[in-house]
Amino acid sequence: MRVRRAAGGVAALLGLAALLLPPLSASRVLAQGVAEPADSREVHEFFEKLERAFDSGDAGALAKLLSKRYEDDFEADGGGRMRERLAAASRNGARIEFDVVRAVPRAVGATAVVRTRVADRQPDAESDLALFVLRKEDGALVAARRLTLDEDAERRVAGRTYRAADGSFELGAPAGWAIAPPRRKVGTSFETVTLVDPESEAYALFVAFAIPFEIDSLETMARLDAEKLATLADKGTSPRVLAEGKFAAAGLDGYQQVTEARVGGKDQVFRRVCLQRERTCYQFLFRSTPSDAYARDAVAFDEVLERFRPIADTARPRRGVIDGNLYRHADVGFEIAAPPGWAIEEAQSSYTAQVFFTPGSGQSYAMVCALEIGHPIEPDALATPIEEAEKDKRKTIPAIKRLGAIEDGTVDGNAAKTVVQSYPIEGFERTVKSTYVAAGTTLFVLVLHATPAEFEAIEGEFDALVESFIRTP
Amino acid sequence: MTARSLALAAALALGPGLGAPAARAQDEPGRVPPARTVRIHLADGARIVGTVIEDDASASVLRVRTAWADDVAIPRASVLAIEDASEPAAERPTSVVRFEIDASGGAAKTEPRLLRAREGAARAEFRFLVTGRVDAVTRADGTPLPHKTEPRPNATLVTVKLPKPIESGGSEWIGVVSYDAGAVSRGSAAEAVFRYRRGAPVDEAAVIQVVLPPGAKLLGAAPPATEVPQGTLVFRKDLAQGETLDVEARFTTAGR
Repeated sequence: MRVRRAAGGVAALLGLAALLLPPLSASRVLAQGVAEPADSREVHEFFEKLERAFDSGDAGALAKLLSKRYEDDFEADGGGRMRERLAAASRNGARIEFDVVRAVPRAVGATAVVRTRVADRQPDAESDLALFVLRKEDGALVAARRLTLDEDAERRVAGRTYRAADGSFELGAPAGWAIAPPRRKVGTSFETVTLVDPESEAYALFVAFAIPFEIDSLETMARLDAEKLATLADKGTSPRVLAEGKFAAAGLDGYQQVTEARVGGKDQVFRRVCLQRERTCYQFLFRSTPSDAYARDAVAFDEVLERFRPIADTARPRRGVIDGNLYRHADVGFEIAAPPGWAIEEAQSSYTAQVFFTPGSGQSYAMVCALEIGHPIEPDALATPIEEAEKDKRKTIPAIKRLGAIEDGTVDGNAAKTVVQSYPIEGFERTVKSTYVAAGTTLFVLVLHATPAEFEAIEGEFDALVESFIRTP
Repeated sequence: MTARSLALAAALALGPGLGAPAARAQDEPGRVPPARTVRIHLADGARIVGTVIEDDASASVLRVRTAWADDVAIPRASVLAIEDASEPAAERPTSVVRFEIDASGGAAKTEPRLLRAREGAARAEFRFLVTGRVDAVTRADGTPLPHKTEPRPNATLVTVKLPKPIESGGSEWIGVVSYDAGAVSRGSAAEAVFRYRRGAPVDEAAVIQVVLPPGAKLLGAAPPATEVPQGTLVFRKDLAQGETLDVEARFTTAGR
């Protein structure tokens, strides 16, 4: 019998979509066909102009090109830091180089993926990849920097198609839309892709993630999503469900909800489609602003769903093996022994590997996640994912607190850091003990999620679980 | 199955050994079609092709004449399935695990383990976890392998050093015999329960063989198992990657 786990991490997950959406006040619908078309040459010329404006130190020209109107975007996506970098580089006499990696010109706007680099005295200066949205205003292009992109994921974009890191799906953008994978934070397991129409407010956010074990069906997730949307709606208004029910696409079953809500002073339509493949959820969140644009945008949304293609499992990593109380994963390279009476259940997730351990009774569980980082993990760097995860969680659960300091240690000879935290989830207090292990290029996270009362009773068994962990060749 | 019978089975097998393709049991396991060349599947995953020359159900061994060796004796308890050799063998790989339960509630477990050297470097030393006490670690041919053990919580850590390294990207099957003193739980004073769960890393046929203690009577098995010979249960299931085979055997405790 599966223990129904408390909703650890669900709030953060459900809040993800809202957090990744660009600020709602940052842009407006532009009338179509009233300006001269922008072409690729124009986009390139725009960034040349930007470069010249920077070199000349003409703050006014820079401000015009990187329109102040999009200041919120800057703040939301590290743009403030970019401005600081620009200002600092300017003071130091450095210059900024802009390379247009790809661009999609439209009639009155364009999207461009641009690599910026501070060409100062540091020959190996860090470069930065970002998606800019450009629009014509008074015959001139102005730009908003919308997203910082992931360099690795960018390599998997071909034209209007994005291929998943593990080869498990392909996602396509409608004609004229930009497809852009935002930068992933260290330690996150979900794969996110944004699709942007530069000429309207239409926007799509795609997230592939492991369905949390505490969610027993997509219907439960739909209910939680609806509750989340209600919290985002403007005070005094409540979301109105236009349509909801079962939905199938790309050979996968799921559900969809179409909801109208007044958010940020605007009536908007949110269409959420969730498709399930084993324990992975492919979630599409489409947004139309204002509401009456939905009839037009729906055509593009349907095209996104039509172009979505799950791919057979052959290219995916092999699964681990449960062998009595043992779990081993030959490809990732680890083995671990469950305490007597604990059940083992492997999850198909976007982590490199994820496996759950549950005691015979109670509401607690342990989890082991493996995440391939791609480069050797320095022991000192282990604090970063702990801090990042805590920061992310604080956005949705401000009451999170640490119980004691981060403790250094070793697990099977590998550097490890352990932290114990406490926070309420859906009204219930949880104590969470997490051990982060740096093993070569793989980050292992071993977590105990327990009620405070159960924590005391099973912490020793969890410690035994951690102590049994071995890395295998 | 003991280390000796594991060695026997492996020595007899000309095929890929412990990771051999699975049986497609066309006949009831243990019953031999007369005067036919048959393919015999052993608990280790090994296969033997030959003609059965002695098939006495009361005997503990099955005698088979092969083209490549003299007559060989196969412990009947290690036979999982017998099929017509003219039929093509199934392509699925097989994992076979065997438990021999004793009256004290412990179980000796015999299992194949695959040691793999990843691309990039040959490797001679391997580590893995085993539940309970480790009694033997052998090559597929039964040769004992030097190894050392150290306790880990709820497991034993085994370190094996092969005399000759496995080449980069290569692999080798070995056999492990272990003993878990707490393998069986008591359902009641008169009933004992054995439970075991095994998953499949790839699409495969999983075979779990459970030998009940002498004198014990089977009260129930889930999923349904073949009991050939009496007291030896064979659970078998074709598993897709990630699926598990959960077996449960309820039987009378000794003397009931």
